[in-house]
Amino acid sequence: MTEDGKKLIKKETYTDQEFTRNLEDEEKRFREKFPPARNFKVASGYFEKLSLLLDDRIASEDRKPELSWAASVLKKHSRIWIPVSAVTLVIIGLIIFLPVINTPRQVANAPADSSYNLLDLDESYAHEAVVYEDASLNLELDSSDKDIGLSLSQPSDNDTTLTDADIIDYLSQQDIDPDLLAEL
Amino acid sequence: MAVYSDEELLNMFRESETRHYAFNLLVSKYREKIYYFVRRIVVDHDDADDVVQNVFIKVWKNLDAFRQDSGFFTWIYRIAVNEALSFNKSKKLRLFFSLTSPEASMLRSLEDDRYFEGTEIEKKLQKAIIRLPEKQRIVFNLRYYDEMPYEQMSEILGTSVGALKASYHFALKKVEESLIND
Repeated sequence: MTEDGKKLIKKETYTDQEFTRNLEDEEKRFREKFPPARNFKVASGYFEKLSLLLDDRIASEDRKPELSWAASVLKKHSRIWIPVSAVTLVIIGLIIFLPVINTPRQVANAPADSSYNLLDLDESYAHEAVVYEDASLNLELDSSDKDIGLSLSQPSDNDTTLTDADIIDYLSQQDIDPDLLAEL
Repeated sequence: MAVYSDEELLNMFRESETRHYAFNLLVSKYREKIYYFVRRIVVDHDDADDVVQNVFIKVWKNLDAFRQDSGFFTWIYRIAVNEALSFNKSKKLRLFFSLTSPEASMLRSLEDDRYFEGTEIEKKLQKAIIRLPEKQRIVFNLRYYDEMPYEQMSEILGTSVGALKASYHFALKKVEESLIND
């Protein structure tokens, strides 16, 4: 580094005391050039009115009912409770409306026999279902009777009337418990 | 009217019978200093009026909790600085939608101010101060107008003495340059 450079750095590097002294000189010079003046004015009687206004405000502050613990916490954290309540509303909305939106899909995906559950809800439907099942059972028996030549409900024109003995005889040929036959 | 020290007024404030009286005396003692300090920060009289009222309401509400670790003077100035800064911040947000800069708004307030009584050079000085960055403007006003010691400014602003001196030095340079160029 050149001698001039060293001198320049030495000149530019101030100690704290030097800096303060220079600043004071600078400030003194500035003040002499531009003496501080109170250029902002107020209407006459403004400060007296200000005191009265403050008295009124304080009186109204004192009249305000004291906030409950919860209200004071809400007021203190007013910046966060607005977004928090908005998020809560969205969550409540989702809880309420999500099942409604999903219901048709759930029914479509449900197993076919689940419709019986709906009938369980109402006894009259249940009764109708039983009647319907009985009727269908009769129809099934009718169709199977043709194979074995028996009819429990409506005898065919070709058959003669079956007697109890015929039935017992038929059953005895089947592998049926003898006690049950005895009861008959 | 009897002249009470800050400490005496604070003791009177703690007594329920003299509470309002002590507060009124505190207001009378500090209202002008606080008003002019705030006015130089926010410039407009109505804005300054709002801020000063808020400052004294805060004093009323929080004086019981004031522990006297620092002087009352320092404490009330700290409240005033915070209130003025938060007012300017909220005004900046409001002005954002009207596409006006806070600086332009303050310069217009100064131009339209019928209570500004000063020469043309004094108006130019005020304009130069308005153009300073906010923190530098506070340091400049506290030092130049209120002649506050750096140690006290340090307590109010929570900044080191060295940083305040540097800030004031730069503020003086900028204001001087602005006055020469304007």
